[in-house]
Amino acid sequence: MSASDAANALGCFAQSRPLTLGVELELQIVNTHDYDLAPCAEDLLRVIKQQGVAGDIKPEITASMIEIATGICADHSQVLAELGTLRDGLVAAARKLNVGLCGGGTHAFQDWSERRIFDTPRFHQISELYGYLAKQFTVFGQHVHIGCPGPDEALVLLHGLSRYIPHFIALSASSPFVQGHDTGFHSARLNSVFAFPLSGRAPFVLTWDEFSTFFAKMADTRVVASMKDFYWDIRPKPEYGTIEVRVMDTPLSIERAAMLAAYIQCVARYLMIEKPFRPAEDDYLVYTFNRFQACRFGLEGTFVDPKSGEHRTVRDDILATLAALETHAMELKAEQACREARQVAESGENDATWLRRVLEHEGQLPEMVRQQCLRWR
Amino acid sequence: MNGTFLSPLLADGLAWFEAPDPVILFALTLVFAGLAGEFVFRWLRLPRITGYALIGILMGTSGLAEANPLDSAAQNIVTDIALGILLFELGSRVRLAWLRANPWLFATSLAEAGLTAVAVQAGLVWFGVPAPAAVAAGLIAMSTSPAVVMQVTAEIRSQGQVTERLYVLTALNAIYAVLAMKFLAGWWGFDTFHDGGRALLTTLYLISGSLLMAALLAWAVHRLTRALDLREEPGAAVLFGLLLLTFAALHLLGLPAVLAPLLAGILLKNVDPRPWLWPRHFGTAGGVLVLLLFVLGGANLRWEDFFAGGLAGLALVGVRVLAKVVGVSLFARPSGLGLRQCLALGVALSPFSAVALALVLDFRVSHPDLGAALAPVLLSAMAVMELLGPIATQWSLRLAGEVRR
Repeated sequence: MSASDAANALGCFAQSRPLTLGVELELQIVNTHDYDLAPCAEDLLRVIKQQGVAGDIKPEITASMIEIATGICADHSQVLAELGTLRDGLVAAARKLNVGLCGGGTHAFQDWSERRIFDTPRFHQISELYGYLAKQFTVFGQHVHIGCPGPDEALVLLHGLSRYIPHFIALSASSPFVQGHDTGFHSARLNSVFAFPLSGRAPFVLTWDEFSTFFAKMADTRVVASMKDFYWDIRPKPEYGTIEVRVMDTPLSIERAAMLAAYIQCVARYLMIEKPFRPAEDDYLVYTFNRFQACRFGLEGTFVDPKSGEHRTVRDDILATLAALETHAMELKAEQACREARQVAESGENDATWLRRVLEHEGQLPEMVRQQCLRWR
Repeated sequence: MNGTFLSPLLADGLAWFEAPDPVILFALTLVFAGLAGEFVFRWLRLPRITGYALIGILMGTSGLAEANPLDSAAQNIVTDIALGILLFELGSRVRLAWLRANPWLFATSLAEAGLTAVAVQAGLVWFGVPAPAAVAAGLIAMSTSPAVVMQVTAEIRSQGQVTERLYVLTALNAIYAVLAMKFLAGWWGFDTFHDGGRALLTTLYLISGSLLMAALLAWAVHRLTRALDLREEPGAAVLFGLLLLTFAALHLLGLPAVLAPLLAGILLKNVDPRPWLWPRHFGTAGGVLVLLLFVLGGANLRWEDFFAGGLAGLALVGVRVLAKVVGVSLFARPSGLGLRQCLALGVALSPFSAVALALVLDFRVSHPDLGAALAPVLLSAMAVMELLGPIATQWSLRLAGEVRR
């Protein structure tokens, strides 16, 4: 592949309004008998098409997943409203088909070997390449897009936001169970993402030119053909002119999902306007440690400040950040969302904690999944 | 020389075939049924029950079935528990909230059953079967075999819209068939004298009696699950006992065997929304009983039965499947089903046995003349479907892409 081909594959960084928002959620489709995953994405899409549900609803790699996406939103309330419409349409369609829908980063007891690959060439190709990893990748995430004024700004924002990855993980974590067992993690979903060779973080470059050079080199190795082949925690999305934060588990409710999106938006504004620190390669020294702590222990995890080296809990770092976000929350009409984030941080109760409590009370995973479905609608 | 050496053995062998040792025969039945089931499943990719039924039919045809050590009481115990398990499992797959959320599914059920009744009746009249007998045959033909549906779907672990709807439609058409036939029997009385009042009373008695028994059974199972895990042997044993008690009570009260276990499953699923978890057929013991159910079903058949009804029997099979396919397709779009799925669902509904057989036998007792006119046709249709039904269901679930194994 020549350099110009590689540039074409990467594409230009599109225009987008700074700090606009887009949210994608991957959802689980379960049956209402034993609440295992149900391969009904195709049926759902057909019914949705008939009913004319507005908005973007797409199949995902296995037939028990479906993805919803908002349009370009200005603020928290718009995200919440759009997600609400999508959810209501989807829930009505699911009811018609006797299937349940729920959030959660993993299905608690599905058997990965039973998953069916959704019938499109790209999904089959991925399945062939990655083998069982593709089926084992039946995990459900939330992606948040943030509009950037330009490509260089996008990369600066990307590396700035990396510091806050543990926040996003701990606040959204909803995948303590995998293959029928408690993993001890708050977000076990990210462990499945690690398995992919091109996961992790973006290379530390702060200009689009440097990034294009990196991409061209990667493309030359023929390891990647497009940005889609990178499974980074945060990656630029040149077609949209955004950066995409991808570490969140799909929360158990759209309210939590909208809250997370607004929180990320506020942090992004804080970084863009106040420039509280200058991103540096050395920030990444503690990156995987922090990320692991948040996955494993949630809000109680240890957070190492990349600049000062100070240790504190993820919860305390979130509370400190929320205090710094106040004016930005006001500007972005995200006060409500920030109050919710504060409440989650203070109580230490994320969705993973909720799931564990339900299981402890009910004693069986299928009943827990049923209550997940009740919580979703 | 040779002769003198071999002849005693040979004579013994022949004597054994004339009067086989019942226990050895039963043992061999289990061995061969198990092997046949596995053989057709693994090598021919056919449902295991086809293998079981074939062994049964071979036994029946060869006359070996006469030496069955299971006397009729033991046979009844086996078939009652097996059928009870399957009906109860089927009932527990019916979520009434679904019918409320998707009334078109209920319309589909009425269309599928109604069209089957009308089409089969018209077809049989055309073949010269007397009209009243044809009406009864049409009503009986509505029912899909719950046993075959439950066994085949469990075996290939099918999952998806067609499977889910197959459960609901099968449960509903069994209920329609039983109620309609009992109503008809009450209406016609013993002397084909029309008596609407009595028919209504009989039907009401059946519904309320079956509901009461179902409620008792469901309540008992609900209590049971608090003390015992149905996934362990003690739980399964108590459940089998409860099912037998229910059948004994149903027999005493003159209530049909089909409704109460089915309704008990439905009640349990719908009164308590928590997922009900038990292994299929309640474990290996239940699985063996189900195997015997199909062997015994086959053993009651003779090769002659396949041709007893002549062309009319074959026509009934064809018309019935066609009616079911058209019936489920009528409201496919509003109920949220694709075209290929309709074809699959209609064909999957074609197995025809347990419920229908009970109804035919009942009807033959209450109306000997009409019974004699319709029995050969229905029995030969049943004989054909005993072999083809499970294959049809398996094939259609494959067509619908819902098979996991």
